[in-house]
Amino acid sequence: MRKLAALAAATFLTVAAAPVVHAIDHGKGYPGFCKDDKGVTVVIDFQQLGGAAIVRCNPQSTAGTGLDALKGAGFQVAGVQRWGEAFICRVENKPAAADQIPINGRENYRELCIDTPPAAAYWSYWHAGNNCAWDYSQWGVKNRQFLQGGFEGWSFSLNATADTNPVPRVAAVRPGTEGKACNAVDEPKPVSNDPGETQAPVQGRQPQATPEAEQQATPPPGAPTGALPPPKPRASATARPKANDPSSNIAFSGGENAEDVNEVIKRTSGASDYAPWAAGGAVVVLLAAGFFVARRRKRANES
Amino acid sequence: MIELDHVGFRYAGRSEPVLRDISLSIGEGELVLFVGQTGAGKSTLLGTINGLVPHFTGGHLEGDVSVAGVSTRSRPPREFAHLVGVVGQDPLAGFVTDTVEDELAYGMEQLGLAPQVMRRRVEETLDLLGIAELRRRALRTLSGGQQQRVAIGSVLTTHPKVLVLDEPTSALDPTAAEDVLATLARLVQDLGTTVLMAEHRMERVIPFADRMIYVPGSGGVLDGTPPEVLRDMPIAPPIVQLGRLAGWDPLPMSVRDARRRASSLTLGSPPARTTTAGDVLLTASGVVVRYGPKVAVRDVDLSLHAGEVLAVMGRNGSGKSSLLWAVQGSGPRQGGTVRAGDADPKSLSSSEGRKLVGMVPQTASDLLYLQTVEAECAAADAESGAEPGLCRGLLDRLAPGIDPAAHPRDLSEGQRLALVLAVQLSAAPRVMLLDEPTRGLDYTAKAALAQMIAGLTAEGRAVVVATHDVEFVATIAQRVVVMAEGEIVSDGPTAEVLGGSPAFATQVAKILGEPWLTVADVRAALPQEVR
Amino acid sequence: MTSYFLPRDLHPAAWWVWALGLAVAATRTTNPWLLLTIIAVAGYVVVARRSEAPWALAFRLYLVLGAWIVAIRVFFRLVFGGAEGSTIILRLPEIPLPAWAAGIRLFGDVSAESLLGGLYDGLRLATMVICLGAANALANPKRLLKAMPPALYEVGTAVIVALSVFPQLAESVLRVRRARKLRGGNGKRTQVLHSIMIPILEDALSRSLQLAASMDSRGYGRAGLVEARQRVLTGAMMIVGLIGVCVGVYATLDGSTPRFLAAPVLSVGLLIGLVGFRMAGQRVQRTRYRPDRWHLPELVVALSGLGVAAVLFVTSSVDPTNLNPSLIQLSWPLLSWGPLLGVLIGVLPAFLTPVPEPPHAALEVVAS
Repeated sequence: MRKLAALAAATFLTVAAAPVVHAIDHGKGYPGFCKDDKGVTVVIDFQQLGGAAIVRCNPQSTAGTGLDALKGAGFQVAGVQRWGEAFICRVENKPAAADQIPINGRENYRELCIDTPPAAAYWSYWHAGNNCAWDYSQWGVKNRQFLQGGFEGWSFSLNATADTNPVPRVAAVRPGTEGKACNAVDEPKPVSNDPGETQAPVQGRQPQATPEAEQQATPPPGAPTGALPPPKPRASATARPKANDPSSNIAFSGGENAEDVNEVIKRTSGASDYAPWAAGGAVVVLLAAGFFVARRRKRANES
Repeated sequence: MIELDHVGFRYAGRSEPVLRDISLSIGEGELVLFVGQTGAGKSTLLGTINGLVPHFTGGHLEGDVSVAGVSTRSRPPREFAHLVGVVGQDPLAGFVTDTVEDELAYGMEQLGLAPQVMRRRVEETLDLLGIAELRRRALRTLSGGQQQRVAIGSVLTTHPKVLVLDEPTSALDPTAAEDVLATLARLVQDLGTTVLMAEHRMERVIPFADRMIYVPGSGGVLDGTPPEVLRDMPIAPPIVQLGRLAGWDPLPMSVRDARRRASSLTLGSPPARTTTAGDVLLTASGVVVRYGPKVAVRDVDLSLHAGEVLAVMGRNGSGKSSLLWAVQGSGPRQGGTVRAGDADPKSLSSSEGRKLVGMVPQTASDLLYLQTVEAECAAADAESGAEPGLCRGLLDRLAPGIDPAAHPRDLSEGQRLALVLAVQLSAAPRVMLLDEPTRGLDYTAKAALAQMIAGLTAEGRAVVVATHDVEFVATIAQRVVVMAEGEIVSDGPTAEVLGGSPAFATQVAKILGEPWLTVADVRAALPQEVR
Repeated sequence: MTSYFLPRDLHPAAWWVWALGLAVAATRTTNPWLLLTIIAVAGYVVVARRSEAPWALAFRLYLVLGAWIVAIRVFFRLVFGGAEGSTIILRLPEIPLPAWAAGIRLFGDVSAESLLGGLYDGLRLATMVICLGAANALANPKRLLKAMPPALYEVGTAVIVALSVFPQLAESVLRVRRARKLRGGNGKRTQVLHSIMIPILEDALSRSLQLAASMDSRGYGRAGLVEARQRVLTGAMMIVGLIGVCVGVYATLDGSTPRFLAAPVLSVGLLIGLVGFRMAGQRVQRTRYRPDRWHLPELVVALSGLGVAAVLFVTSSVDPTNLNPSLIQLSWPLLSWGPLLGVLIGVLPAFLTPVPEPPHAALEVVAS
């Protein structure tokens, strides 16, 4: 019984050591596309999960992983319990644990983020250089390096196959660079089956900075790009397919009004502020009662 | 009830049959006592009753055995479970479950009796055997006598028509054996089942026995009423021996019987028991043995003289064995000193220690591990550093004529004891300790053991025998020590200690009074013409 | 009502159902509040309702085992990649590993999130182990064997006999080793081993022969009157049923097999197997002495365990985040009333069941 008490105490201490709740860090990154070729633009397309797409910029000018890009842009993500953040299962609390995801054949599926999500309902991971078409990432989120001035995309894939994974419906085109050539080089594919293999952060892979002079007038960030006139098609020297026309972008926001995920969870789950105290109290009461019963029994046996 | 029709039996691989052309007819409600030396074929004969022989043991059975009209040929022993209840020698080895109640119910469960019937019979049996307070106890924690009573109860619950008891007391100490036999005596009178019993403490059973069957070992049997059979049977209890000596006819079958006749006996003066106290070979003082909080031996002093046999008596758990092990040096000893010669055997290595004090433990066969008697002897010579052949020589003196190629397990209890004794004597200790050597020995084997011990003392050794067996002590011991709760409660010459207490009185003492202990005493004192 | 609370030992299966209910509930959550409450509930019921039998004292071993599991889980997070999450609380030097060990990381940064993840995960496993420990402490394993269906009766007897062999063997070893000293006991190691093993094995063998003879003569394995045809039919049904269950389980777990192999084959196989089992049991003409029966208290115990599991199943579909606290942002784990009250149902057996029968020794004290 004493061991149990020690265990309980240890758990309390560890939990107590965790920092207090803090609101979503809107201070991380900024809404909309990146303003220049520093940093990486992250596009989240919720697809069937509903809600407007979110585009935010992580202005980090140093090298970083796809996960750094997500977090640095201010997104709140959750990994599965089994793999941790190496496998993102929720972005901005979507799909929420209580949501039913209509997978074909399993209409009542809920994503509990415990094991790898099913192939029919997961966040597909994309990347693109500026002005380039989206590419399905061959790398895990912790294993690839984001492209300075490039794009990272997340698009929820529901009931799709490897060939029909939905591309993020926001073109990887920074406002003001429409019609420019896609300068990105093909990124190397993983050479091994090792899940821990990481991309080498090669400087040569960074696209050449687009000369400032070539840029057209930059619209204010966050402005609906759909309103812009279509850029003139330009011949590109690279082999990479070009990005879609930004005019076909779906509606998106910078996530300015997104609520803190923890707050949402707390509100939707019906959690009570008092329940943890009640639980702790119940544990203490049961331990004390157990202790007294054991002692009384011991005395009875001895007498 | 039971018909044996020209039954013969031969174990597989043996040319000599154990049973030869035996025809018996045992009626309902009869109590039949089977006697004979160990290994003569009693167990085999009893085993044929429910088909364990030959279904379980193998071998070749001739003739036919039938119980209540059912032949054992046609069915395995388990189909006789409702007809024949079998109780063996070692109750613990036969237990299937682990608590008293479950064990009592086990047989009934196999027969598929209704739960209410089982419940009722378990309660009845608990009362019948006087073990009601043990009902929830674990079988392992019971004493030997209690275990054997549970074993008997566990076959009684199925209400068998025939009860077969194969030496039910041979593995028990005399107190427990008395217990079990008293219970059986009551059962036999109350229940009226047919009982077939092999038992070497026959004097307890003879008064109830309708018939007695002597199995001499030659294959045939001698069948008759107890007095008829006992008249010329080589093995006999002291009462019968006394009756033969005095020429009483019919032979007395109980102590009361004999006591009435004894008044006609004219005896001289009882022989003086010589106590030849030689040199002191071993002294122990203040010996303390404890197992955790339990004190097994409490501050005991002991001295052993050359040429003397000391008997250590006392009930189970009184500390006899612990004392012997402590004196030998192999067992634990928390306090006191032991000096044998001029050394403490505990301070020496075990191979040096056994040259001072030898010991034969309770289960003597634990010391044997080789395939043949010859190999055991050779190993003993090597272990003792003696010249080859010493052990064999000792063995031939103790028990002549043992086949050197025989497997030690195939020897009789007595022969095996002799072998272990020879192995231990090859180290030439001057003190020999025997822990319960008489357990499982019949009268003949005990007499042989008594001779072995006499031989040892004649060579100037000191012998200690821990035993419950009063008759045996009366035959061999010069001095008796009685232990209780780890302490020595009385210590003195045999005649004094045994004669003075009703609990330790021998059969002859019960008949003739205090100074007379054994038949040999009486024979020595009888007028010449009667002798 | 008074007879309801008369001291008696409950059916062991009831305790197992209760404990498995708690264990299943534990699998549904990593919420430390709930897991700790489950442990406290199990612990209290054990303290309140265990008997004095030796197996009942093993519960604290399970608690120690649980603590070990938690400690090892957290320790592993520390050693192998504890950098999951962004709150780094400990910076350890990372040990470079050769190329063939790629994917494995030794030490390096340790984040609070990953330690907490290890703690929650370990706590869940520990809770399940402790629940099983509670069942072991409360249910008499031998009575559980007795409660097996008739078709498995002989297996149960064999297990009981095998269990009783161990103390006997230990006894023999002690005795023979002590006896060995009397023969000097010096010699080659193999010879010493030989000299100890032979008597012990001979002892064990002769004992088992005696036991077999005793069981045989007491009716163990009485076949009764069974026609050969029926025996073949029973055997065939059991085998067909078993194959059906195997195929069905495989198909259920492997999504790529045709669906008609899953639930239909599984249920049909189960049905055939059960019928065969039932027939095998019926031909066994054996009865039980004082069989444990299901009365109201057993029902209360079993239902309270099932209730806990059911509540956590229901609430996990309503507010799963409650049960699996998010580690996105470090925070106190959330908890709502539903699952907490559900878990507390499990403590009911500590109050609503009769106490176990006092041990034999205590009975004697009272009687004298």
